[in-house]
Amino acid sequence: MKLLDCPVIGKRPISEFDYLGEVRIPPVNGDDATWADYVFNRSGEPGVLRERWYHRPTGRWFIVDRNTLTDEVIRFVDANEVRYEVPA
Amino acid sequence: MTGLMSNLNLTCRDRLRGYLLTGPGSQAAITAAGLPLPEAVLSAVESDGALVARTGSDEYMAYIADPQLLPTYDWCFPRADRVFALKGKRWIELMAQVCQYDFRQMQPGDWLMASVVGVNCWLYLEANGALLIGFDSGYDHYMSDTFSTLLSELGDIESNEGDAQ
Repeated sequence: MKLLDCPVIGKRPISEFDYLGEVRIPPVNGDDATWADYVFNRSGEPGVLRERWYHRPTGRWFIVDRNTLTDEVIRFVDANEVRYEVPA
Repeated sequence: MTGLMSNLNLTCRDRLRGYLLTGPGSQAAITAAGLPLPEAVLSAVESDGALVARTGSDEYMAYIADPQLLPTYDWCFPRADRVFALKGKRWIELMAQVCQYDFRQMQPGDWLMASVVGVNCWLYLEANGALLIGFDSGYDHYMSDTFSTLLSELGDIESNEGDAQ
């Protein structure tokens, strides 16, 4: 059984979570090349990735920094840290 | 009704009614209704047959048997939960078959939200040793059937004692 060691609710089976992928902030004022890179390219290199996980039983979203090489959750990230303004 | 060799029994807390209170006035509404107020998120407190859990910064789930305790609050919505009460010395053994959480670490008064046989449930361990298992009533047949089978396998039978504790 694979566990996700969530800093907020503790070790829970991975089957209770939905994975929503990397938290990526769009380059709001970027040029075409920057946008193309944002839309089409992903880094698959193992390392620390900021990810969104949804825990179904609690109905809560969690943002964590996880080392994808060691599968270690490094820290819980407050949602305010990844907020960004949507241009009007 | 329990089996002669019973060391587990399952009852349904039919009289418990669930409510979701949300919004900035939820805390004041709970206090005004005389219900217990949990402080930490994902914790619960029980008092006089009322169980209140805090599920968010301004979100609470309240389970009350006495309708007079119902908070008067616009953002208080009824929930259609079914609540089982599992009691007996082998309850951890049974739960180990249906939930991946390690219940050995669960203490009376603990609140947990986890998947039980694939169904999103809330669980609360009462001071008297009964484990409350709440879930959407749409899963009632499936959950009743599953628990009935497990109780039979462990040498017990299922019972419904209404709200007798």
